[in-house]
Amino acid sequence: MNAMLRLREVCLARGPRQVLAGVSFDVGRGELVALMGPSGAGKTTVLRVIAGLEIFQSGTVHLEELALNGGGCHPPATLHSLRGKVGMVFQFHHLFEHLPVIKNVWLAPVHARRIPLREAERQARDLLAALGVEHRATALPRELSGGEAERVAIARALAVDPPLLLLDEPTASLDSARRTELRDLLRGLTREGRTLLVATHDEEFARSCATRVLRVKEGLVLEEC
Amino acid sequence: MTVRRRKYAGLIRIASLAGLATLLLPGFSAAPSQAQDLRWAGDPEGGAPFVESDPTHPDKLVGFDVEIAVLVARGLGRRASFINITFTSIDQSIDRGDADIGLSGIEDTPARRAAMATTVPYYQFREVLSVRDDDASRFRTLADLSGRRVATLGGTIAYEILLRAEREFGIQAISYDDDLHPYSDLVIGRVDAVLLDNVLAERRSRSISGFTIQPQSIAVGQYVGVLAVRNAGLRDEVDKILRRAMGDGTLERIFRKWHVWNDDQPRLYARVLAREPVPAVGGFEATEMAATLSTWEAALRYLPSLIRASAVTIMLSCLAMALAVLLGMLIASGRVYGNRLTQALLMGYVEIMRGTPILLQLFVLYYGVAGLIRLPAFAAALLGLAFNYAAYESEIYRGALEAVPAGQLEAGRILGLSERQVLALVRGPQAFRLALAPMTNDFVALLKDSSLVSVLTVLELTKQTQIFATNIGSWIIPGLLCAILYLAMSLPLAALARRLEKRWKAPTA
Repeated sequence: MNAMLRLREVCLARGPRQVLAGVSFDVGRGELVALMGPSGAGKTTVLRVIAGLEIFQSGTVHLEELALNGGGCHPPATLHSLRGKVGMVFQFHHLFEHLPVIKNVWLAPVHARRIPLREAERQARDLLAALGVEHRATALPRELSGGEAERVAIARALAVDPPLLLLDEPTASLDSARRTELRDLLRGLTREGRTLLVATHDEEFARSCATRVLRVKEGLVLEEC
Repeated sequence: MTVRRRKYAGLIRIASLAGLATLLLPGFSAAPSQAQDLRWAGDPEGGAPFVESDPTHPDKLVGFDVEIAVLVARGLGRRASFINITFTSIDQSIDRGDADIGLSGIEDTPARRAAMATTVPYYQFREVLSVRDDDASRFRTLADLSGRRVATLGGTIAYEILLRAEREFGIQAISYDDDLHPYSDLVIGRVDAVLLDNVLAERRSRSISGFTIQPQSIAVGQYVGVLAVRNAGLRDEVDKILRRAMGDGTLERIFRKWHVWNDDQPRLYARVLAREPVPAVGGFEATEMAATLSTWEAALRYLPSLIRASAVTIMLSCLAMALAVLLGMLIASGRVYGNRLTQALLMGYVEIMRGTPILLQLFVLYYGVAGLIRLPAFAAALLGLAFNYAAYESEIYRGALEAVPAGQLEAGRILGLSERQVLALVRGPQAFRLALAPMTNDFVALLKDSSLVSVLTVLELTKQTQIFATNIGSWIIPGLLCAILYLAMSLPLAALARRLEKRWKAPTA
C-alpha cells in the first residue's frame, strides 16, 4: 500500500491517564478509513495528533515526507507545512461565530493562501453549491441546522484544498437521510483523489462508506478488518 | 381603641426620632445647638495669612481670620469653635446651618450681599496682575494681554474680571482650584499672567521667584464675614464688634502682625465707621457680574459657555476612550501572548493605575513631571484619563480574549492562519463583541470622570457649572442644566451601544 499517513507507536498521556498507548496504523492515498470505537476511546485524540494540535510523548507521525515526532513541541516550520496538507472538520464544527457562512469559507484562502478575494469568494460559492448549502451563504453559523453546519464546516476545510481530510463524528447531528447524503458526499471526495480519515461510533455509517475500518480501544488500535 | 393606640405609638416614635435627629445632627435645627460656642467656618487649605495649621503645632490654627474669629467670639461672650469647610462651599454650609459665620478671606460681592447676611468689610485688597519678570515692561494691563492665557482662582471677582476681559481684550481666562498653581504655572510658562488679590500675590512672591507684581491695581475689593440671612441679628452684633475693633486699633494690630497692613485700611475703616456705603467691588462695573442678573438671565448668559464646556467634555471623553481602547487592547494582548517579563510589567502597570486615585495620576502628569515634560493642560487631561482607563479596558479585553473558546482558535490554526491572523481575524473580533457591554459602561463612567480634569485647568462641563453656581449663588438652575447636558451626551451613547450589542450579539452556545 502506498501509505500517505503512517503512525508508529504514538503515546500520549494526560496526567496519570494514558490516552494513546502506542497507536500504529497506515492510511493509503485515496482511502476512506473509519476510526471506530466507543466514546472516550481516543478517536478524537488520534485526529488531533495528526492535525498537529496535540503534543505527544513518544512515537512518530509521517504524513507524506513530513514527520511529527513525540517528546516536545513541533517546530513552527513543520506545523506550517502540515497546515497545507491536513484539513479537519470538528465534531462541534467550530465555525467562526462572528462571520457569515461565505466568509467562514473564504477567510483562510484569502489570508493564509493569499488568493485574491474575488477568486476566493467565487471558489467558496462553488464549494457551498457543491455541498448544497449555497442558499445559506449570508447566514451566521448560529442560524444553521446541524446538517447545514456540518456541510459548511466541510466546505471551509476543503477551501484550502488539503490532500488529507480528518472528520470527527460527522454524523453526530444528522438524521438518516442526511447521513446517506453525507456518505455519498464523502465517497465523491475520495473519487477526486482525496484521502479521508473519519472518527465515528456509528457502525452502520462506517460499514457503508469506509474502504477500511480501524478500531480504537483503550488507547490502542486493536484490530483491523 | 387598639388601632388608635397604635396610631399614637407611631406618632410617638416619629417624634422621638425627630428629637434624636436634632441631637445628632448639629445643622438640623435652626437654633445653634451650643449657645456658648461660635461655630466659625474656614478652609485651612487657603493657608497663611488667612487660616492655616501652625507649622510647629499642626493641631493649632493661626492666621488673621483665626484671630478675628476669636475677637468676635469674645465680643459675643462665646467660645470660638472652628469648622473645616472647603472654601468654595462656605456660603452653602453657612446657609445650611453647619456653622454660624464664615471667615476665610471671603470676598464681598453683590451675589453674597444678596444671598447672605454679610458683615461690614474688615480688610480691603487690590486685584493685581503678576507677570514673568521678563514680561514686566510689556504686560502692564489686561489690554496688553490680548490672545494670552491669564490665570486666577475660579469663582472669584478676579475670574469675573477675566471673563469680561475675554470679551473686551480677547485674553483667555484660565480657572484654577487653588492659588499656588497659577503662580507656579506662570513661572514655567503655561500661563502669561495671574490676576489675584495683593494678599495672595505677595504671599506667593515670597516662596516663588521669577514673577513681578504690577503696581497698578485692576479693581478693589474687601473681605467680609458671611452669615445666614436668618442670622441677621447676630450679624449686627458682629458688625458692632468689628467697628469697635476698627476704632480701638485691634484690627490694625492683627493685620500688622500678619504683615498685610497698608494705607488702604484706615481709609476703609473711616468709611465703615462713618457708616458710608462701601461698594462690593471698586473699579469694576459690578452690574456686569452674573450675580446682579436674574437667575434666568444668568442661565441664558451662561448657556453658550455650558455648551462649549460640553463640547470639551465630549471631545475629551471620546479621544481618551479611543486611546484607552487601543492601549487596553495592546496591554491585554501583551498579557495573553507576551513572555513572562512582559506579562509581569503589564500587570504592574494595571495594578498601579487601578490601585491609585485618578486625581493623583492627573496631578503627577500635569504638575509632578512638569520639570521633565511640560504637557499642555488638555494633553495631560487626555493622557491621564486614557492611561487610567486603559488599565480597566485591558482587564475587560483580557477576560474577553480568554473567554473565546479554544475550538475557534484551533479552527483558525488548522486552516493555516498564523497566530497573529488568528488574533486579528478570529479571537480579537469575537472578544470585542464580548467586551462591548462593559466597555460602554466604562465610556459613560469616563464621561463623568472627565470632570476630574478641571483640576488641570481644563474648563469642562462640571467646572463651568461650578463657576456658574458660585457666581449666581445657587446650584438649582446650573445643576439642572448640567445634568441635562450630561444626559444628552450619555443617553444616545447608551442607545448606540444597545444597538451594536443587538447586532453583534455574542453567541450564547
